[in-house]
Amino acid sequence: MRRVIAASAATAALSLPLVLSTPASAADDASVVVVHGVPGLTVDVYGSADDSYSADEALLQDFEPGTVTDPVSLPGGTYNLAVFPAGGDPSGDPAIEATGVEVPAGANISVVAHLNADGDPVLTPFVNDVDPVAAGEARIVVRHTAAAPAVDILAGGEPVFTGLTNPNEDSADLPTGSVSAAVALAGTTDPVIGPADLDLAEGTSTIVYAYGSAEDDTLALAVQTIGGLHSSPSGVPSGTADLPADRTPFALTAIAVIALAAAGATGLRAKRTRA
Amino acid sequence: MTAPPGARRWGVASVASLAVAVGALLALALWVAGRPGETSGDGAAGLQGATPTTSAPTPAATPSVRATARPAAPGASRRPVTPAPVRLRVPDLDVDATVRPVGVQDDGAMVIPAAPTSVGWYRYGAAPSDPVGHTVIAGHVATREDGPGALAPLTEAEEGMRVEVTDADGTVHRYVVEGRTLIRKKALPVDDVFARDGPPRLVLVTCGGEYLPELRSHRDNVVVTAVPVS
Repeated sequence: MRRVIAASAATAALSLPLVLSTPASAADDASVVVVHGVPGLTVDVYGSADDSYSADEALLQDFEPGTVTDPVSLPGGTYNLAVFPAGGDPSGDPAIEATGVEVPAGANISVVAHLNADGDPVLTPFVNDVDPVAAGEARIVVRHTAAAPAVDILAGGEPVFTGLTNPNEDSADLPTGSVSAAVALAGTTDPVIGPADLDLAEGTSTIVYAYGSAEDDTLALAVQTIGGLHSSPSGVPSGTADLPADRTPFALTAIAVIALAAAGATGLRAKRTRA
Repeated sequence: MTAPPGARRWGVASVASLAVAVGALLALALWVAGRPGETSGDGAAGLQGATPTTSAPTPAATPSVRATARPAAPGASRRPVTPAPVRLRVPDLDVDATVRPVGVQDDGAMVIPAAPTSVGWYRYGAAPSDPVGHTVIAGHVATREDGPGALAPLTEAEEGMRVEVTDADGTVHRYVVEGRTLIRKKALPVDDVFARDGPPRLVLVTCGGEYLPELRSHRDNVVVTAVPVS
C-alpha cells in the first residue's frame, strides 16, 4: 500500500484544485469522476501542479472504498494526483500517485483508484464514451479493476462479455431495462461477484467496475452513471389512413344547385301560366 | 293587375327555392370561413422556446473544487419514478383518450398505439410532473382498420384551448394551447419536439396535411404545444 505507483505521462487523467479558480471556458472543461476501488483504505485525494502536495490541495477527504464522486469540471491541462490514507500527511509518500497526466479539454474521464491484477494499488484513467445512444437504448460499460484473473460478465446467467482482464473495459448498447449482472472467472458461469440488478436507464451509460481482491475475498461492484446521452425518436408515424372526408360542402353545393334549378323551373312555369 | 292563381303559386315556389339556394350557399360560405387554418397561435415558437439550451456545464461551486462522493453499490442511486400520464382531455374538441406509455419501434420512430381510443406517451421523455422537458403524447389521426383516431380533432386545436392530462396517481395537470403548426414529417425537428430540457410543455402530435396513399402516410405532422397553467 505504501508503494508509489506513477502513471505514465502519456495516459490521460486527473485533477487539482490550484488551477480551478477561473475556468477559461466552461465548454472546453473536462468532466472528471474519481472512483475508489481499493478495499479497506479510506483516503484523501490531493491534486497539485508540482511534485509536492499541501493541505490546501486536498480534492477529496475521507474518500471511502466503493464510492464515486460527482463529476468535477476541470480545465484541460496537465495534472499530478496523489492518494494518501485518510488524515495522512500529504508531504509524505503517497499511497498512490499519478504524475504528469493529461486531461484533454472537453473529455469525460473516470479516474479509478484500484488494485492491479497483482494486487498493487494503481490509478487508471478511463476515457468515457459519451456518444449518444439510439432512442430507447442504454449503454453498459464493464471495467475490470480487481486483483483477479480474466473474467466473464454474465447477464441473466449468460456470458455477454468474455475474457476481460485488468485494467480493460468492454461495452455494448442495449435496450433499456433491468439486467441481472454477475462476474464469473473466464470460462465459468459460477458468479464470484453478484448477481446484482442493474437499472439501465434510457439515454444513459452505466459503468460497472469490478474491484477488490479475489485473494482477500473483497470482490465487489461499483456503478457510475453518465446521463444525457439520449437521442430523439426519428419521427411520429401517427396515421396510416386518410380521415374520412368532410361531406358538408358537397351536400350544401348539391342543395344550392337543386334549389336553383327548382327556382328556375318554377319561375318559368309561373311566367307561362301567367301568359 | 291580377295573375292567375296557378301563376302565383309557381311564383311563390320559385322564390322559396331561390331562398333555399341562397341559404345553402351562405352555409357553404360559413363552412369555408369556419375551417381551421393551417396553424394557430405560435406553435413553432413554442417548440423552439424549449430548444434544449446548450447550458454550459456549471463550474464547480467553490473555487477550490471539492468533489462529493456517493456510494456506488449497484442500486444505490435509484431514479425517482415520476407517475405516468393515463388520460388526455381536450374538452373543446371532445378529445378524451387513454394514454399508454410507449417507446420506439425498430426503425427508431415513436410507437403509436394501434387502438383508436388510445394515444401514446413517450416514456423516455418528460412526464407531466417533471420540472423540465416536453411531455410528448402522440396518436393516430386515423387508421385503415379503425377510421378516425383519438387525436383526429387536433387539426382544429386553437390557441387558448384547455388541455388536461391525468397522472396515474390521479393528479390533473392543466395546460393551455399555445399554438398549432403543420410540419413536414421529413423536417420534423425531433430534438425540439422531444426536448428533455427547457421549460415544461405538453406537446401533442398527430398527422395531417396531404394524405399520400402510396406511402399510406400523411405528408405532415400536426404539432400542438401547450403550456402548463396552475
